[in-house]
Amino acid sequence: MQKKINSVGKKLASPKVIFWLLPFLIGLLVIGTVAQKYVGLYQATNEYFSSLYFTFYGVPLPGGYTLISILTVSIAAKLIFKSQWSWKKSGIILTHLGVLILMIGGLLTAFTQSEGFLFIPEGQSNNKVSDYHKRVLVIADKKSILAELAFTDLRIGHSIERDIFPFKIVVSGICENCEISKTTDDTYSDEFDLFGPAQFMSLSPKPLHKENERNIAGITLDIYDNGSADKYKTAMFEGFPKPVSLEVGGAEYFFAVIREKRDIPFSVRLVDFEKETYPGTTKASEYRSHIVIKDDEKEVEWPATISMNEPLRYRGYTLYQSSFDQTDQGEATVLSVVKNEGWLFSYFATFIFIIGLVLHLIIEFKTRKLS
Amino acid sequence: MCKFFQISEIAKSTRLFVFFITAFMVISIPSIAQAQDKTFHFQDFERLPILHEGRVKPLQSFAALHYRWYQGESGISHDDAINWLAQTIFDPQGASHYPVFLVRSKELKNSIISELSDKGDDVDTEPKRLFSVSDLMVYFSTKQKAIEKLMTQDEASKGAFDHALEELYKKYISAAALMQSMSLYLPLDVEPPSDVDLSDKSALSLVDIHPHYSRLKAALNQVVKKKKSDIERYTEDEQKLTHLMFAYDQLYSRGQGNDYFKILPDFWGNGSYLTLNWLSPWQQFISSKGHPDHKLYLSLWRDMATAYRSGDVDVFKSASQKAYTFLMEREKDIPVLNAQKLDLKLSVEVLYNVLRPTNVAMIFYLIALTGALLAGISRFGWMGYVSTGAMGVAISFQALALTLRGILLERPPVTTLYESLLFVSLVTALLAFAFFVKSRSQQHIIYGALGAFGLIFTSTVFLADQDSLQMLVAVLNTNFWLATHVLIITLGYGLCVLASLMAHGWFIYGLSSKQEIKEKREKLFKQIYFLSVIALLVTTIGTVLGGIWADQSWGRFWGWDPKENGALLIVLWLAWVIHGRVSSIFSKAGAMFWIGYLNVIVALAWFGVNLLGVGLHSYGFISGIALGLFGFIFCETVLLLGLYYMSKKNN
Repeated sequence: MQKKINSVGKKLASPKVIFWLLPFLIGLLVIGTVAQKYVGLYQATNEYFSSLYFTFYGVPLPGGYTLISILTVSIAAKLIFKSQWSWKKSGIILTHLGVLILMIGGLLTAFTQSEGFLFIPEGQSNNKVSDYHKRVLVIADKKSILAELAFTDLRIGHSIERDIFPFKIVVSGICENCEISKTTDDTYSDEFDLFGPAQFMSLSPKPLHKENERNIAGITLDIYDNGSADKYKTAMFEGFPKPVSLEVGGAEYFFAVIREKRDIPFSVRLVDFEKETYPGTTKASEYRSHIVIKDDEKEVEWPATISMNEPLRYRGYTLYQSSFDQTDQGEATVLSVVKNEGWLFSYFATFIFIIGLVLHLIIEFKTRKLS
Repeated sequence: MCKFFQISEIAKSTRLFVFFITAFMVISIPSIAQAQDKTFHFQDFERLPILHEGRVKPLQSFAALHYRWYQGESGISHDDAINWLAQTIFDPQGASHYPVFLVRSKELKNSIISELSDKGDDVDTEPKRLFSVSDLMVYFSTKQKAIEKLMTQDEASKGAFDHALEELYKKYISAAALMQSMSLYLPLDVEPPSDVDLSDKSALSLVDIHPHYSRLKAALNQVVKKKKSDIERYTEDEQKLTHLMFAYDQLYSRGQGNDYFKILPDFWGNGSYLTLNWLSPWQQFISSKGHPDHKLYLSLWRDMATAYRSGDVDVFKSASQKAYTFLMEREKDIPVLNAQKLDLKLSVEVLYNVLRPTNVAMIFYLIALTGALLAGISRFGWMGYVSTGAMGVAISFQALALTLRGILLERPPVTTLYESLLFVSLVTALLAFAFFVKSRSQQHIIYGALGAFGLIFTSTVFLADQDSLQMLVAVLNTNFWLATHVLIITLGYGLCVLASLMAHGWFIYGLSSKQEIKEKREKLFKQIYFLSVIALLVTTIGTVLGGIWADQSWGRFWGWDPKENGALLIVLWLAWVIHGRVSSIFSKAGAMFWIGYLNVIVALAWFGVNLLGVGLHSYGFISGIALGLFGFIFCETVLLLGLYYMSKKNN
């Protein structure tokens, strides 16, 4: 058994594995990069880099996860089964160890990282991070949220029934990026009572925008009252100014399509947003958000400043200056919030990697000089 | 594409379109200058500062930028440019006939020529024919609707003609704005009524009339009230008054929004002139933010205008000298630490412009290359000294160029494609020279000079339509990361370029069967392999440092952004070649072939990703280089395959 493990390990550790793997990685890199021109960064990342495989003109090819996993295994095998633990080889060992840690950190990041943004007008607080990509259908009554359904789980014909609301919902239309058109008399069937935006507009799918953040997701719902034969229809899309409401059985219910929101364990209040420009231009030289972090759990409150290249790290979250907006009430900041469990790996790996490469170079140089 | 005229957004409004279409009429209100055949000395004038695109620069740079942009060429004469600028601001009517716009699009050019010939104007169809503002005024007056449509059109739906038309229109309106920049101080082409008491009636300008405006307007209103619009009934003085007020109103309404020519520092401000906002003469006039020093400084500008228009060379020289001295004296009074940098910056930039160190370096690289090639022939052995000396001079000039740029922008000179090309070419030349010093072989001079020359030559492509000394977008505005990640990654590019060129040399050596050459070839192989390992080290460190910068700025180490992927591509390529050699899959020739191809990989990573126009590194986007890039890839592929085949055959 031991022999077999050694044999497999040594085979995996062969530089030939890396040699044959790298062209696939190079190909993936080129295809995934060029694809960004046509489908945008988000889709290209999902399709090529964060995938087990993809098809290229009908040919299935290994995706980023597969290739990086093989690379990780091969490097680990090299360290375990093939490394000559000598001073002469220390540079090479450290370099490969650095790459290995980087790969592990990368995989950890890929599976655990979450990203979103906080939109905070001046003087206000927020602790709900909106996801950049995930959309949800929210059903609520006046007191609480009754259901929150991920958009990716919904399909046409999908039926939603819960004990907590007296109606059945059937998805009659859904689009990741919607074309919003004015309704005509023929748009919807007469059997439904229209409410909300469906009274004057309808939704139809249109090609996805390259930047996923710019897509406007929307949904058309048919609602069947459990207590009567009443049928309702509505349509809604993200960014619609207020939730769509419907009274069923004497209670009012609300429906909305929004970005998925997640709570963070502290709130951020924007005291002041500053934008500095180069003299005589509107070109920004610096953005800066003066904030106050309030952590009720730890009973602390403290001021901080986030600016370009100067993010704030707190409780595993990185908050960085992403954008800003001018609202009716004044300026607002947009802070990206990233939670990345593997962020330390990259620093650690870089350190080992650089030491290894420099060491290798010095040893190589000395050896050449001697010879 | 030009970034130094940001009026396109404003120009989307029809109002502004009409404004610029009527610009010519307004330009013609200042009278034409008397003597224009004089040779002026612009040494002090061209050093006068102006705030443009967020940076204070000498008028010389400002003039050259516009002149280059209008002509679409990087190799323009600074003297021509400053001459053009002086005429444009001091004698707009004369300058309107100055042929300055080169139209490369044949379709657009024919369209203009056809329009001009319809109007009975000049129909010169020379390939290098330049158009003047008055030519374009005629043309654009017929294209109002097309321009309006173009300004609101989606970029993707625009064709080549549309882009050319839009670009030319931007140039035209920028020239029109420049022509009006000093119009409030220029004498009007009108005669005042005899009964109006104005101090100097011979050279009345808008600012001279301004204090009397209410009185004159009231007088005109009286006339209009009495005689309505029947101009025939007006007396001669009343007609003069009407013309005078019309000229004033036209100039005032068109000029009041002109903020293009920011030559007046904020004398009220507290801080260095380099960081304060500046005002254009019109802004200062309209905003009433005048400081006593503004009056003094502007009076010197007015003296320059008067002297220029009357052809008085000496007075012009003296006034421009005084203006420069005046400003520098004022700067000395600023009580802020390190505020007195203006003089240094202006002098350094003028030196940079006049010396053109990158052009000098390019010439010397060429001499070094020729010398090193000739040194290989026995009777020209002495040429080796020439090539070595030329290489030293070229490297010195290039290092000087980058140092001067660093002083001007106060950051490492690696932030634009243009600068990175200059930096990489210096790295290539220096490394090659280091190899030469060690080996005393002229072949390294050839690699270094060829690489450096080629890279500087390529850099000129990026000079034609933009300022090469640009202010940075906020996220790049960090000297620490520029000095670490960007410097290291570009150092890696330099190593790759040199390794690739040396691999070409390795194949060329393979064409010879002489023992001496074979030995040299073996030595060269070791050098290339060693260089490739260092290149892998440096590019990898540069790439991971980029990841750390991304983590610091955006909270994530890697985001598969095209520029990040480009850097990783080089790392993977080098790792692949080295692993291929380590595992004996590649023969020496195989490894050298792929190292030779590294040039293509670097070009793709450096420029190719910019063609995609996506990602966070939006500072580097370019257009129109695709053809050049694909041409280079094709030529390199053919060359390397040919060398590989011939060398293989020979062995």
